[in-house]
Amino acid sequence: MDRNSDSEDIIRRITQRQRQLYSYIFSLVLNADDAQEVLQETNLTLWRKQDEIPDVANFPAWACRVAYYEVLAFRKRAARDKLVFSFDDELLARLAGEAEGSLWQDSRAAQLQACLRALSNPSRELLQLRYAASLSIDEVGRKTGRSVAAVSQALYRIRKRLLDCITRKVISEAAP
Amino acid sequence: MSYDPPPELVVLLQAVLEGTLTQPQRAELASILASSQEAQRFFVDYLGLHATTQWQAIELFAEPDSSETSSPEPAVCLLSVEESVPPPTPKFAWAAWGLTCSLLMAFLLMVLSGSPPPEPVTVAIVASQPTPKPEEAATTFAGVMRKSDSAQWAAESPHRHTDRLLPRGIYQLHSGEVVIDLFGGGVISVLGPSEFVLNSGQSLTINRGNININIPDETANLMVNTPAADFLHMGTEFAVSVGPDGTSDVIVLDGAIEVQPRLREKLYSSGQLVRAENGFRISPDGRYETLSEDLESQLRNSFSVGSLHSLPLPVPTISPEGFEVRYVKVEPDENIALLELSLADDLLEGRFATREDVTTSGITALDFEERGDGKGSENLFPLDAHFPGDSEGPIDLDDGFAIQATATMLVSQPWIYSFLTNSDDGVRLRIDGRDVIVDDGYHRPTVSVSSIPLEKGKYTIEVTYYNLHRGARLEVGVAIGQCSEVPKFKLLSSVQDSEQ
Repeated sequence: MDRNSDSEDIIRRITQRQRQLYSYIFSLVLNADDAQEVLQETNLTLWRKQDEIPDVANFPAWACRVAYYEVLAFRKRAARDKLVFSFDDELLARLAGEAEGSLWQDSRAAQLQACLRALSNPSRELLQLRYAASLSIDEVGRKTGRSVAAVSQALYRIRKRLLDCITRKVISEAAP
Repeated sequence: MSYDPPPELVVLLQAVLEGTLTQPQRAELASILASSQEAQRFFVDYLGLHATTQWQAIELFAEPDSSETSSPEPAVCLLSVEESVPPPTPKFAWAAWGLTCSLLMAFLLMVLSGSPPPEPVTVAIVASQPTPKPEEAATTFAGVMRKSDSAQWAAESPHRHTDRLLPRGIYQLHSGEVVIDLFGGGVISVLGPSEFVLNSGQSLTINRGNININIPDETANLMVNTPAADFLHMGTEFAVSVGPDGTSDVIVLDGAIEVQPRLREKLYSSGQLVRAENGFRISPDGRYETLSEDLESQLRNSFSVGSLHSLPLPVPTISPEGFEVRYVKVEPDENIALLELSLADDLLEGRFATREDVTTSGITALDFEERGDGKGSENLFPLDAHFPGDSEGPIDLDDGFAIQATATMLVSQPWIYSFLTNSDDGVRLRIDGRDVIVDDGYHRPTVSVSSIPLEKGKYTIEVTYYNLHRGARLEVGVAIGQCSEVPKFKLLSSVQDSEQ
């Protein structure tokens, strides 16, 4: 494979992992803007390390480690700027370990679509307003005539159902 | 079996996703996560679901007929579908390198600006009910006028009627005599002409005139002062006569008082302990004098209303019809977790589908207990009935339910009364539509106490309660006066004391 092909392959591999990396980083920094910033840094670092990528046996895990170090670097910057950050080193490392093995680090995200279809229409519509229409909880509440708390609670229950559904599918897939 | 996160983690997860997590909440979240690997796993899975849904929103919620044929939005397509970025076939190395850089730049630009959609600005979960301030209600009034003998008042004095609550304020009694029971634990007899100020149920200022003060309870919290001195009681009865210039004549009839002159910088103005059967005069400049026998006798015998003792008061009761208790269980498909009063209100007002909605009449008292033993606060009352309304036996405490209990409460004497709730989870107690106790949020059994002055009469008492899951408890008690000592509370009941 020539250099061009290598580069294209690297771009493709990085590109394919954006969702998983974002999910991974988000669970460690707890904020969408911060997660975006760390993801960009991670992408740049991955690009700089492109020469190492062909030798990496497990690219997703390796990319997660790169993202993890970027999270640590981000945390250091945030602390220097006196910005608030969340967890201590030990807990962050444990969460990172969990996040690497979570549902969202492999192809199981595909189950999300099927589980979404299994929701009742009102539940699905609520998610649609929140995510596809990018409405705030407040806006969703106004649109549906519910209080902020009611919307928030409903979304929690729906997400919990989705998680249970995906987990069930993963377990049944793994069964012999 | 799926992991069921504790309610406190649920609230914190919501705060994370809504961008409202406070610093104390971060610490609480860290503490919960540090103690449970299951919680850690759920946490990353839950946040991962949110991030994934956010990232793939357009694809996930596309109409079925269009999702298979039309091209998704570039950013989403590029970032989520493996086959969506076919490798280009550059003809020259430099061109390929340029394309690669362009792709990377494009890719980075898309990451920077295109997706996922920004986290919307959201508001924190807050209770829809305003924070109650029953203490303000308690301080609107200072006591109750028990007796009035030929009393003539200045027109500008606050409204006053026998056996009615007496507001705070400046009172000018031209003539006659009145007896006032103060919430702070003292009874005063005022002889006209007098001017006095009821600062609160715990504070009396005598500007001029003759007032007899009986504070039998050593622990009572009543402050008395004149322009010349502050009088600290020690379970006592004493009479005070204040002249036009503020000079105060005092005779101690029972017990003792400590006198603190207002002008304490004067050497001769130190505090004095004065015991029963002793009298003295103190002037506004802090000078003490002996009271003549004639003045002592005059002060001692000037009051004619009689013995000053607080009347024995009956505790408020519920009318014989008892409570009407409505039990409403939320329909699980509604995806509602009852975590706060606004949600319970929504449920009770029919904004959510319900699985059960049963009303039971004739409930004598609110003392319900379901698997609540040994948790948090003490179980205060022994009735411990099951929550009424469930038609199929013991209620399923894994699903949220709300209770709305209403009754007529009978108050036979105007006074300040204290109400208590012992609740797991949240509760609100209203009297005639006014919040007296609001204990919102899911929690272990928690005792809340609040006091409110009530005139003699009938009141509508309304208790709204909700339980998220697991153990449930609701107890409602009442006590006379401004009381915070839990053992003094009795179950608020339609059954009289002797029958309980």
